[in-house]
Amino acid sequence: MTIPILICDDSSFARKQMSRALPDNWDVSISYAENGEQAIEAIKAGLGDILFLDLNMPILDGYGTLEVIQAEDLPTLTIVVSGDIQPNAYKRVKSLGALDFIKKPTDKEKVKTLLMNYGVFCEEDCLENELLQDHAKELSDANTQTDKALITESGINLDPYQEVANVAMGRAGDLLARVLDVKVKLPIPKVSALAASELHMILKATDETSSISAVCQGYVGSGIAGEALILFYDSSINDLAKLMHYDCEITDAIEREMLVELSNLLIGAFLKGFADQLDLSFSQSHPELLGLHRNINELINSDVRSWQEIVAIEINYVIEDYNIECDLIVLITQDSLPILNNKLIYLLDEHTL
Amino acid sequence: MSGMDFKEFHWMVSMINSIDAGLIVLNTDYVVESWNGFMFHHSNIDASDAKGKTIFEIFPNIDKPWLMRKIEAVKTIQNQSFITWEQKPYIFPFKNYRPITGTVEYMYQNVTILPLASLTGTIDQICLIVYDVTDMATNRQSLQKANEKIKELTKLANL
Repeated sequence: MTIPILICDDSSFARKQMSRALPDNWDVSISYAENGEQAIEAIKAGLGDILFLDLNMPILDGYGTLEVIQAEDLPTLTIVVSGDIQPNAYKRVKSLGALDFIKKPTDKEKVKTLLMNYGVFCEEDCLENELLQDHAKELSDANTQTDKALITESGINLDPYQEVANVAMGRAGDLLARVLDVKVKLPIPKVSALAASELHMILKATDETSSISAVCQGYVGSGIAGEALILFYDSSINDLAKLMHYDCEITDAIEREMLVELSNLLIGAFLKGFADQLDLSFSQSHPELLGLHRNINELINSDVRSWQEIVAIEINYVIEDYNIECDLIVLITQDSLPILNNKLIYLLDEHTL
Repeated sequence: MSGMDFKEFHWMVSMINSIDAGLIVLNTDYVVESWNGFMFHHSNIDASDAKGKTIFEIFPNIDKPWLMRKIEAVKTIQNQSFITWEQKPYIFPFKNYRPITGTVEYMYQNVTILPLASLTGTIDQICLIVYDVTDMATNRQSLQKANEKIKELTKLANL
C-alpha cells in the first residue's frame, strides 16, 4: 500500500535531500510543503501519513505546526528533521507529539533504521528492495561495461529510459511476487532503439515458431503512446498452469485464459510503475492474442506505417522454481519520444538536485 | 459536494446511465454500490435491487473463485486488468443486443476491471466496465472459418 509522505522544509535543497534519504523503492507517494501552513493543509488532504518536519520556517514554524497537529488531532506521524538539535528543543518537540528527531544532513541508513523501529517501514516493503539488491551488483557490472551513455543514432539519450525501466521493473517484480506468491528473478531491462524491420523480425519469429505465443496491448496517455508485447514460450505452459492453479486438462481456452492473465499482470505492473514515476496515467486497450485469429505475417505486411525509430524496453522474466520464461517488450512510438524526454529530464533533475 | 453543483451532477449521472457500456462499482466485499442503465436494461435488474447484494448473489453462475482472483490481483497491482471474449465469451448472461437478426444467442463481452483509488490512495472500490463485442467476435469467428475453408479448397485444387 502506498504511504503518503509529506516533506516540509523551506529549502528546496533540503526537501530533495530528505526525499533521497528515504529507503529505496519504498512504496510511498511524496508531497512537499514549504511551510507549516502548507503542511497542515496537505495533512488534511490525506497527503501526509508521515511528516518530515523542519523547525525553522517562515509563516508557521515547526513548533507551531506541531501545536496545530496536536490541538486538531491530525492523523500524522511527525519526525522532526533539524540541523541543530539541542536537548531542550528535543524535549519540547517530543512534548508536542513528535515521534523522533533526525539530524541534518539526513543519513539514509539512519532514516531507514528509525522508520523500521517505529514499524512504519517493514519487511514486506523491503521485499522488492531485496530483489533489487539481488541484481544491483549485476546492474553496476553492466553499467561499467556500457560506460558510454546510450545514445541512439538520432541522438536520443537512452540512459533515463534505462533508469525508469529499472525502477518500474523492480516494482513490477515485487507486485508479481505478491500476486503469484513466487520469487521472480529480475534481469536488467534492455533498452534499445529499434527500427521497424527489427520489430518485424521479432513478431515473425512468434509466427514461424509455433511454440511461441504472443499478446499485445496498446497504451496511450499524455501524448505518450505505444504497445506492450508479451512473448511466451509454450514449453512452459504446464508450469504456468501449475503456478496459476489450473488442475484441469489444459485446453485451448485455458491456454488463452492463462496468457491473457499473465499479460495483465506483467504489462499492468510494469506500466503502472512506469507511469507512476512520470506522474501520468495510461489508457490501455484490451489485450489482443496475436496469431490466434490473425496471421502475424499478414499483420506485418499490411502495415504501411514506417516507424523510423521506436524505443523498446525488453525484459526477460524468469520465475524461479517454475520453468517459466517470457519476454515483455514495451514499445514507445517515435512521436512520444520528445514528450517523454522532457518528462525524464525533469524527473532526473529532481533526483540529482 | 464542493466543486460540483447539482446541475453538473445531474448530467454526469445521466451520461453514466445512458452510456452503451455496463458500469458496476463493487466494494471490497463484492457488494454492488453502483449499477448503470446498461446493466439494468440487459439484466432487467433495477439498480435499487442490485445495490446491497454481492455480484455473485445477482449472477450465481459467475465462476466466483475465478473472478475473485482477478479482482484481488487488480487491488494488489493497482492497475486495470482485462477479460476478453476470447477467454470467456461472456461473464454476464445477457441476450444478444439484436434478439431477432443477431446470429448468436448471447452477448459477447470484453470486461475491464478498474481499481478506484480513494482520497487516501487505498483501493476500496472496484469498477467493472462491460463492453458488448458481439459483432466483433462473430465477425472474427466467421472470418476465421472462411479462411479455413479457403485453405481446404486450395489444398483440393492443388491435388
